[in-house]
Amino acid sequence: MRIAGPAALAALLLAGPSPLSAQVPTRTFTLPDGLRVVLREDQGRLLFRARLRLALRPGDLPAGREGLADLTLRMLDRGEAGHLGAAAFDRALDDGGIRLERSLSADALTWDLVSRSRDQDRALGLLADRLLRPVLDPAALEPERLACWRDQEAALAAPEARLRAALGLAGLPPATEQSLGQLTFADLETFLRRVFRPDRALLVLEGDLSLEQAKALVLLSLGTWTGEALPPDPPIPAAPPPGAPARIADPGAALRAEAAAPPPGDLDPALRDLVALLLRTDPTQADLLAPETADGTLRFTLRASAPGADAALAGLRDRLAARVKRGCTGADLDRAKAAWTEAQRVLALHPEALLARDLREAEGRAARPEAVAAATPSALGAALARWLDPARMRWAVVGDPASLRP
Amino acid sequence: MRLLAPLLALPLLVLAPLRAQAPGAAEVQERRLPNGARLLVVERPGLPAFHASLVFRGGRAEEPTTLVGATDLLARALYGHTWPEDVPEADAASPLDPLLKQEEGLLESLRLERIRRSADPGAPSQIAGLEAGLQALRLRIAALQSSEPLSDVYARLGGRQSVTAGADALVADTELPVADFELWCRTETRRLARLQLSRFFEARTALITELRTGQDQGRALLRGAALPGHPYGRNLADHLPGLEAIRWSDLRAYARRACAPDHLTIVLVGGVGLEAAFPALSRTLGALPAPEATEEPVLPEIRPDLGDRRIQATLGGASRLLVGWRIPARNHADHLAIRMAAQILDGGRTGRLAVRLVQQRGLATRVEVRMDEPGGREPGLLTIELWPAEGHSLAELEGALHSELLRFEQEALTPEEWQRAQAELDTEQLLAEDAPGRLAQALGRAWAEAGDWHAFYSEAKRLQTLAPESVQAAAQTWLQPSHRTTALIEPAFLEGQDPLEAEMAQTLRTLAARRIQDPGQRERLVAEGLRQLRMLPLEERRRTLTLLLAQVPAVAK
Repeated sequence: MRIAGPAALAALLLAGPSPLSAQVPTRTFTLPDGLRVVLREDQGRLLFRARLRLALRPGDLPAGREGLADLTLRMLDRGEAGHLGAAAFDRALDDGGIRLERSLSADALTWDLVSRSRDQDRALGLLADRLLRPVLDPAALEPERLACWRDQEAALAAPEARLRAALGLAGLPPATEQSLGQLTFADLETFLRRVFRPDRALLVLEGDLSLEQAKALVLLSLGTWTGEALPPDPPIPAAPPPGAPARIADPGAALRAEAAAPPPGDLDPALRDLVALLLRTDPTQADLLAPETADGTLRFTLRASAPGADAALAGLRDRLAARVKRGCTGADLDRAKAAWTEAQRVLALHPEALLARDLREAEGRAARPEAVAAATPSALGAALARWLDPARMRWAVVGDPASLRP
Repeated sequence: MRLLAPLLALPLLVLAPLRAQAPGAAEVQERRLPNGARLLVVERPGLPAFHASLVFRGGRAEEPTTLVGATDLLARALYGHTWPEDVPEADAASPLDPLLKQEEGLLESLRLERIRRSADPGAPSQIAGLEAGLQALRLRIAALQSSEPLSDVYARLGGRQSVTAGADALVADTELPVADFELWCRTETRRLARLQLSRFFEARTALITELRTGQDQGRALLRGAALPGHPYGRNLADHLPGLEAIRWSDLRAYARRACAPDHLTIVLVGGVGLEAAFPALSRTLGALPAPEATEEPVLPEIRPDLGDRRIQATLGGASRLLVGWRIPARNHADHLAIRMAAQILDGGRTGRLAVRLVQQRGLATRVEVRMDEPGGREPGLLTIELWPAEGHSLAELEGALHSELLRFEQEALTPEEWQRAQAELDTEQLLAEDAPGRLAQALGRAWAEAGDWHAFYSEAKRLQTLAPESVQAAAQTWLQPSHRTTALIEPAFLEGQDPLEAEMAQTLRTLAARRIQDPGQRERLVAEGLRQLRMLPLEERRRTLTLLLAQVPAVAK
């Protein structure tokens, strides 16, 4: 390799932010407390990004305690973080133009942090305050419980929200008035102890900081995170199969059938990516498939061409069965492999998507190029059939109440 | 090598502070293609992909009244996908052309027949025959269309494609690996030269369905009332018959004007440099014929001080207050000051309105401030949207909002909130510069709205030197009652979507039926009852329902 002269080096450095995003290898390290960290060092980047994911396990949210995770997050927002009250914490974020967003999915709590590079220490410190040093206010429990229920009630007033809940697209099962009413302050504290611990966490960093700088930064802010020993998770009963199709009344709406197919949990990520790619780019499915969901669930919608809710559902089932029957040809697979490989280059244009990919890779949930290369048409066809198995999908019909009558 | 290390480290240390500076406008290179189209290139060496935005200035605002909806339709039909049959390698006439022409004729006959039938339901109908003919023709068209997975030219290359139909521009975005840059140039040239629009019918059907089912009618109502007679005030959902009458050939003719090179700026951000891009683009997109000079459409001018306007509407969804002020276009001297005012009012969790109206006074559950609605090239709107907290009326919220605005205009801004707003705008600017797609869109938008892409950078600089007094002065000038339109949006009272409310409505109806004979009067009473009950907290509503239910058997007796 030729060594560039100072002028060339300077030109490279001044060339602009993120010159080598795609090629920058990630590096990982683990703190003594068990926190795993992935670093994407990107010299010259003027922004610092972090994504922290706390994995949720089925035992964290026992049946009858729906709403526990949501209510805990609301209480965190209202409570103190470190030495800062809720309002002061928000001010500290906004003073530095720091963006901190949290999200809740079926299997994780996630915090996304963005700040100017010069504020990265402060930004990560504030995230650490939120996670490591929360002080929940018992007096806020009742107002937050009520607010949580009101928000849910208001959200579920919309047919689309009821539909998403019925299709399992709303993340965790929705809280009920009863389940929220049963939650105690002790439940919230137990949840925090179980979930907010370094051995459950994965942190991905991206910015203009070296490995040593990253280690120092993470150690300084999150190095004191501890988690007490917990008893093993109780055995989790198998999830019940989806029930009968839901009927969602939407006054005045045209009748349509809906279905949601989450990717099978044990499906190889390479097959998952390839099947999704083939379905999403299939012109014969263009009128059926809705935009991608965060967890990869495929959502299908078919407008009824004839009256009757059952006929609408049957129409959608037939269309999907026909697609499964068609399977995947060798030519399909070759195109999908090539497209998947090239798409990895295009990902370099999206800093947030790179961060998400780093996170999936660290968790072993990302497709590996060698697994993509090894995929066969028969494996792909089998994966497609499993994914679109009507018995494991959730179904619904939406329309004017009059059109939903059997 | 070990000896060299300190020498190599030296320039690194010297340059470190420089690298912390945003590259800014200097990294944007500009050229004109032979046909007049503009080219902006921001090279990010080493990136294995590029983002390309084709920005066609004009957008919905410049649609002729006979073609309202053409921009949205064009976005879908021209840039929704990149099917091989729409961008064929050969120059020969497409076999699709005669079929699409036939389809156009059948669709028009069907439309006219339906109008005739609605005027004279007893007349003999030809609808069934026309529909059957259309069905058969569509099968012939489908046989010539791609049907295999990954047929889309860009999807097959791992690329992404999206399109935005806006008030000021139509923007088509593509992302591809660098190796496919020349292919992108050729494909886009063929797309514009051919204007095949092979999926015109599907695109029009999908758009009409979407307009019938979706859309925020509250905002559309506000725009219509605040900007009367101006294209910015149009609600596309009000123009469905016109949209249904747009034909394939009409849209192609419109596309020839709207997507002409003199309307186009190409923005490239990524691993493609100007010196590599320019020759390829000159041969392809730069060689598209420039149309004869046409007159720019003259848009009506709206006086900002049109008077204080109010509308009250009953729509689906939650109750909310929407207030809009007519503000100047993006290239007006006061525009930036108003943007700063919007930031202080709305910024993050600690914006003025969120703190005062949501956290401190508990009048609202949420607040949202938007600038330049629906666009920034012409004078548009600054809107504030507020969702009332339970037990508080829209009138109460409106009064509180106006008080806060007066305080904003009259009381000194604190240094903390000023710095906070600047920090947030700084982060916003860096975020826009950081990702190739966002940068390309921001540059394109600056060109479409302000007439000059430099505005994206110069505004960020000017924001840093803005004085609080100038922001307050601009707020006093523009956020005053004579510029204001207020929309009070109430949910549809009898929707019955909320189970509690449905039961309440049924109970009220039962009670009212004993005393009031006129159904219309009865429904008005029920609606008014629901309106008042909505002011109560949830628990009180439940108690009220229990009390009312207790009355029902007594009435029945």
